[in-house]
Amino acid sequence: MGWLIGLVLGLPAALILHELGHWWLMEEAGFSPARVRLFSGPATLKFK
Amino acid sequence: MRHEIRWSQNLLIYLAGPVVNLAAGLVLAAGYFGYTAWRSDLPLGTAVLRTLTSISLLLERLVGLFSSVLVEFIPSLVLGAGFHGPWGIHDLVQGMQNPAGFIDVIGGLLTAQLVVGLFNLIPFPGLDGFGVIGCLYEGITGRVVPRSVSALGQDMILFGLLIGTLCLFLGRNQAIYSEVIRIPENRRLATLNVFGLLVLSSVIALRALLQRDLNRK
Repeated sequence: MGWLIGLVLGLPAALILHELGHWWLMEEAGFSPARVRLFSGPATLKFK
Repeated sequence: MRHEIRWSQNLLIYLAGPVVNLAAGLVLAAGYFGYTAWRSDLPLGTAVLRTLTSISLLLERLVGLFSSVLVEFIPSLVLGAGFHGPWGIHDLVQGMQNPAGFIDVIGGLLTAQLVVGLFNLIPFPGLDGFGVIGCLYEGITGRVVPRSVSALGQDMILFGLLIGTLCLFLGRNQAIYSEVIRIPENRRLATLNVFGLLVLSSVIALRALLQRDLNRK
């Protein structure tokens, strides 16, 4: 049960952390994360 | 508006997400295994050593899990079979120690980080792993990956969802599974991959035909 609670709390946290990881470097590269949709990730840069 | 960016910079941006998840997973793993070792009343040196051994074992198994996911990914999309998902990682974490109480929650958090990190590294259109491959392709050949290739991902995801839903109705894939196990074991995975690729390419061809038809109108 504890594991499931951890997973339920952890998945959104992991996704947000994941996007923040991308955004951090995108800002460094001069690409404004504000223009990128949430969870579309950096795919917007070249592949979409 | 297209923002011009070097392939190497783009590669780092793609890698940053999964790397942050895997790093957070490692920190949580240190806490998880460290706590369980400390609880078992071992001398400090032994507890530290056990923690490090557990983490390295986890890493080794994750690499194994990831490579098996790579081989099984297309069959799992087509047949909804064989893909471990979070349960595979759950087994890795739970199977090594048997802690109780709040530390299980840390195990869940750790699993979530590893699942998100590893899943995104799969080289599949739409996921970060495909972006990494695309950037390397651009670095080597000097050409950008065509838009049509990344559009394949949408077809595959749609098709995977359709088949996945169908498999749910088939009752835990029993009907398909009983057919699949008739294929000799040494050829099973290769056969499923070829079959999966054939089905997917026919879906893609159908989409291309429809697209051409729509363009004509």
